[in-house]
Amino acid sequence: MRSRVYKGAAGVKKRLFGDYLIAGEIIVIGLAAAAHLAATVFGWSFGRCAMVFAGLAGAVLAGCGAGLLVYRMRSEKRFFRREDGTSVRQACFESPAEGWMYAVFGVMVLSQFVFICTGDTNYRQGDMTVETVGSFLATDALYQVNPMTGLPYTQGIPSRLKILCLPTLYASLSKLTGLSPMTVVWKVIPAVTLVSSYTAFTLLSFSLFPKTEEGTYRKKRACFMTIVSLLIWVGAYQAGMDGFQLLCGGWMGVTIRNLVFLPWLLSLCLRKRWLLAALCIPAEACIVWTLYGCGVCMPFLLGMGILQHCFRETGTAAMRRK
Amino acid sequence: MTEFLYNAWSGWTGYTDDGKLPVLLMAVLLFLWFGRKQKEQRALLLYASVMTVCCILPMTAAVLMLYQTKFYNYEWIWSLVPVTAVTAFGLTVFWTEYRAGNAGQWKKVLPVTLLMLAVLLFCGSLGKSVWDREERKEERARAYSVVERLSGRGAGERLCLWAPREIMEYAREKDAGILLPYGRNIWDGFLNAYSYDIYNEDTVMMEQWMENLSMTGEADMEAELLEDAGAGETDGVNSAAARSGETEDVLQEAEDTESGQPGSGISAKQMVTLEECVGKALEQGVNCIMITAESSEEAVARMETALGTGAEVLEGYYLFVIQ
Repeated sequence: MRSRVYKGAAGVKKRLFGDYLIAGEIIVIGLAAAAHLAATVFGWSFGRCAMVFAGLAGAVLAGCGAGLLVYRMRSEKRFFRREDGTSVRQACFESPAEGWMYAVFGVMVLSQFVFICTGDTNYRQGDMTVETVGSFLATDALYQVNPMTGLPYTQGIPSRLKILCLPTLYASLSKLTGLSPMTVVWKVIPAVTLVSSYTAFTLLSFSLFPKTEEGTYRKKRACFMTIVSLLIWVGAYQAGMDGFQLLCGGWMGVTIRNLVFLPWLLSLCLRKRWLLAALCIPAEACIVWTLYGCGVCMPFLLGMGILQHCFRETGTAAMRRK
Repeated sequence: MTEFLYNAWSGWTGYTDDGKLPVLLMAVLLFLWFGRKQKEQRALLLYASVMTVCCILPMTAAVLMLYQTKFYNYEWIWSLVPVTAVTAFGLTVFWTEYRAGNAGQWKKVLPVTLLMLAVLLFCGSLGKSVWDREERKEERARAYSVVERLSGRGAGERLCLWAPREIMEYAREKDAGILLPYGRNIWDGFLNAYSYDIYNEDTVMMEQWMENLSMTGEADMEAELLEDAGAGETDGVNSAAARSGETEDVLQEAEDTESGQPGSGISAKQMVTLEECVGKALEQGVNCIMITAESSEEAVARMETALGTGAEVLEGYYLFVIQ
């Protein structure tokens, strides 16, 4: 059997390894949301909620690990010894220009990684994630005290906010790893978001520049990724810009949505993977304040879906006329 | 709606003040539509173009702002536009096509590549940060050091700390076990969206007094407060200030407003004393007070008398621990 992975009309593999990575992250968010909601509804302590999350995540990770092993075993032969006899290095860079572009890309990503991990870069105006995570850990309860003061709430918090699961996820990670809330929220999670974001943009480059006969698609992908990494640095000037969010607020729900979910969603739309794309909508509702769940992913998906359908219809009609 | 329209327009001008990436996006879209014959990814191009126009025009931007709820500011409507993806796509297409058209002619390709990089760099702020990182780093390190030493002293009883803003700002992120009479949401208004709780008049007064002490070193403060700032509001300016987190703005507005107007008059000036504020703090369960070392000798002496405890010096502050 060659492979169960099949190719779409655009010449792009319909399922790529990065898809599994981001889908895995969405599953982890979903598990955190389930544990968080259960704790909120049944009044569990935070410790119990963290244990439930750890149990669920452990089971899923074990399953994913087994799946990954099978995937690697199947693809190993093709990865190390290609059918056309070229080595992996040759397969990676087919021209010096491509190699240079990936070198620049690597330097950019590495510098961003260092910036996040070593710099005092977090922008926390209007954000109280660290205090919220700290409150969960200190009181062993969810949203019982005001994170700003540590005193019990007098009026409470909006219920739409209460169901967002990221503080629980971060607090669980902090409890399970023993790292301080500041390290988890300001270093570990932004680093994960950075890697996830570049994974999503890589998938997008595969969708935007599908494999063609002329063979320039590889250079285009390399150029695209290099420009994305430059744009991330350049855009680090103002809150709300992609670069700024990724480098100075990688733990925020809006950052994960804008820099991970949306590029991935776009990539899936271009590959017409609608079911997987729809996964982004509930994931967004779990991590970002939205109007009854109608955030950005849904209109984005609808817009792209309708337009792609229209262009396909137009294309088909033109073909018939010919 | 008028407010939304105004916010949409001012939002766009503010959005393009510091950097010009949205302008670069528009240039890229123009190139992709009109600069070449071939048009791949037309669905993405059309979507990005329509959403960009919607985010710029005040009327449509206001509708999008209504849709995203008041929780978010103008800049977040740009989440609907894949700015980075489309800009990178356009620049990639431009550069690879130009390079293919001038294959082997580095004298032509190199200047265009450098020009493209320069344009990219000038679209950002060239390394200028939106806040002073170094200053904040020092402030935070100092606050952490103070909080660490305070946390180490706690024996059984939970610490309820009242201190200047630069300490309160970081206290609970360093040690979530510390209680505060008010948090940084009193000066960072965006944080008030996360809770229905509001601060009462006494708490806002405490914050103002502590800020006044930090700035002037004086033990007493002359305060101007609004009376009857709005129908149904029992605590006047303070509740409004607490909700918005813009105490100074509200007070300034009150100063600028002519007295005698219904619902916006100014009350007589009120003297707020150290003893009064300390009494309010003790009522709220505060058991640890810090004041800046620049405080006057009189303020320190009066604080010692009011609390019945001596002052200790801790990293540039006077510390009073109430047993």
